[in-house]
Parts: sequence; C-alpha cells; structure tokens
Amino acid sequence: MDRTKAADQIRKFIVEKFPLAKRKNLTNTDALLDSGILDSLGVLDLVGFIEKEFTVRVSDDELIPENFRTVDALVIFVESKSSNGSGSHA
Amino acid sequence: MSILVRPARLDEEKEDLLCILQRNLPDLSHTRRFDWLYHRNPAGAAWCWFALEEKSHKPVGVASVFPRCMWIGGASGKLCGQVGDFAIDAPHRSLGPALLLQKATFDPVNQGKLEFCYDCPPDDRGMSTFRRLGMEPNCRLQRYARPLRLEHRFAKRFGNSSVISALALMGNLFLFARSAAKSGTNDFEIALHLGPFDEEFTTLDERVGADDSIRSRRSSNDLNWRFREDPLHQYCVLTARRRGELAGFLVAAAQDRDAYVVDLFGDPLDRVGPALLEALAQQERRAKTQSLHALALPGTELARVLRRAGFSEREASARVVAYSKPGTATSEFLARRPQWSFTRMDLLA
Repeated sequence: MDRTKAADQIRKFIVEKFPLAKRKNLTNTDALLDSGILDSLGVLDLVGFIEKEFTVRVSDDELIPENFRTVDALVIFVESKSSNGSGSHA
Repeated sequence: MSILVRPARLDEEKEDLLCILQRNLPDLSHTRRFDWLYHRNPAGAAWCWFALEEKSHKPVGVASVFPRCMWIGGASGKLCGQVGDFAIDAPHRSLGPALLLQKATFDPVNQGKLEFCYDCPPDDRGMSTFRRLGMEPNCRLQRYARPLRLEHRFAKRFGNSSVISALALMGNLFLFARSAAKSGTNDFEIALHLGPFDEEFTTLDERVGADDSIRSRRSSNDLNWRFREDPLHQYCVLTARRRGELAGFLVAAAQDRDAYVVDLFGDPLDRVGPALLEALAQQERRAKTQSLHALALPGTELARVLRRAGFSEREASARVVAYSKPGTATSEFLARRPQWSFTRMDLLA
C-alpha cells in the first residue's frame, strides 16, 4: 500500500466531510479526537469510507482511540488491516 | 490502550461518576440531582457503568439506566429503563468505548430485570452507536409550537422601533382573538395544583390504561418524584375536574421567554386536553410568555389535541430507540410497532 497516497485520501475525506478539519488546515499529525474534529458519528462515517476505499472490514474492538488519533495512525491501521489479509472478509 | 467496561458502585464511586459527568455535561448540576436521580426514584435505583482505561483503570466514560414503570400493551407496572447520563471524554470518542457502554446498558434487559430499555438520541450524532449496532428508531417525536405573543419575535427579526412595536401589538390582539374564539365553553373546572400528587392521580392513570400502546405510568409516587422532588427544575401543574373528579392534568415548565408542555394526560384526552392547553395559554399570555412548545408523536391522540389547540407542527425532534431481549413477549410486541404515547416527560433523565 502506498502510505502517502493513503494518507492523502484519508485527509481529503476528513477535510471535505468535517468543517473543523478544513478550518484547521489539517495535517497528518494533527489530533483528530482530542481536537473535536472527529466524534463518534464522524468515526462511523470515516469507518464507512475506509471499509469501502481500502476494502477492509473494521470490527467493533478496533474502534479504539489509538487507531483514530491522527491521519498517520489511521494509515498505519489500514496498512495493518491490508497486510494481514482482512480485506477479503468485508 | 484498551477500554474495559464494568458496573459502577454508586456509593463508593460517586465522586468519579460526578467528575466525568461534570466535565462532559457541564450544563447540569450533577451533584445536586445525584441522590434524587440515582437513588430516590420510586421505580428503583439506577444502573451505572464505567468505561475505564485497561492499564490505569482511570474512568473515561459513563452510562446509566434509570428505571421507569411503564404500561405496555394494557399491562401496568412493567419495569423498563431509560438510558441517560451517557458521557465519554473527548480523546476516547472513537466509537468503540461508546459501543461497549451502549451494549452494557442492555445487560439488565438481557438478565430479565427490565422489559426493555430505551434511549432518546436528540440528533444524528446520538444515533451513531445504534447505527453501528444495526438498530433503527422505534419512533420519532415532533415539536409543536403555538405563538402567544409576538413582540420578542418581531424585535429579534426587525429590530426595535415604534412601528414594529405597533405591529407586534396588532399581532398579539389577533392571536388573543383567535384564542378566545377557540376556547369556547367546557365543563371542566381548571385549577392550579400546588401540593403533592395524591391517590386520585393513580386512579386516573389506572382508568386511562394503555390498550395497545406504550406509555409511562403516572401514579402519585411517579409524579411526585418527577415533578415535585426534582431538585433542579420547577413545574407548574394544572388540573381539570368534572363535578369534582380529576379528569386530567397538564405539567409545564418555563424556559427563557417560552413555556414547555412537559406532560398532558387525561380521560378523555381529546376533551380535557384542549381545555387544559387553553388554560395554560391564558396563564402564560398574562406572564408575557412568547410561545408554547410541546413534543408528541405524529398521528397520536396527543398530536391531534395539540393541533386542535392551535399548535403547529415544527421540526422532528428526538428519536426513541428501544432494546428488548430477542425472543421475549415484549420483543414481539415491539416488533408489531405499537404506538408510543410519549411526551417531553419521557425524555427527561
């Protein structure tokens, strides 16, 4: 998986979907949860995007803050999902 | 960092609970309402769960279920629960901790202690856990409003001037005339009810019953706890009597320049309801209240009564999402999509 491309895709989705991210000129290391850019509904939308875009299945116990803290954390999470082959179980 | 969810010990961990609530829901005085809400409810003590960081055991979230006695399909005294005081610290709002807490609120239902529990998400954000769990709302309340006076609305929209004041005055006269035409005569004696609710309210609740619908029980104990012992809110209660016998009552609360119908109940509601609403309108107009508001489910008797009393439909409000144990009679009853006779009272924690 191309990390830079994945980060761009995720960041673009967040900026387009959540006005606060646009106002803050979101970078890959900005806090998403602590800053209030993402809340539980935002996470739900983001999970839908990730599952569709990267053909992975996100389980309930993966909805932990570590995976959603920053765009970089999300890329690492998606990469781990892609590399362990969870993508085919969607 | 993993999250654990476990039941809270209400007495020993009260301070932890209050801390989380105060930092996430700062508009309420949780300390002042704690004993009333968590311990003194006549339907029973609340259930409560903490979400904790697994390593540090630091509480980062909380959810509670407050018992409610309901009528379900004609049977009274069924113990149900309302989910409330649901709060999670911002760094943990990744949906996973909320899902764990939401599932924990189903425990008393799965253990057979409650017929069902319900939550009332006020907006789409509050629906996120239910959407993830594949649960749909059972119904959705609607706000209804009736303007009583226009001066504040006009001033807010057009500014203050003598012309605007004159127009508002004319508008007020029109609203008053329309109200006078509606009020007509009725055979109810309407009075302000100042003391506690007594057994005649329990009798009225039993007489009205519930047939095929779901509604809160309104025994004297339930009403005294809800409306007389609430440490944070004050309510105005109007009663309607026919030849001395209680036929209905209305509970209202003032907020800013408006008044809210919190509960409206009676036998028969289509006759006693409009009389009580008109009496409230007259009282609130004198108090310079600008508008009356109420919540009801479209298509219910209450919604029809509100419309007859000059209320208009406004925006959709809170949803009601109920969880019942699969395979139970209650679950089958809910699946038949019965009518929910809910009012604003049923949304209060």
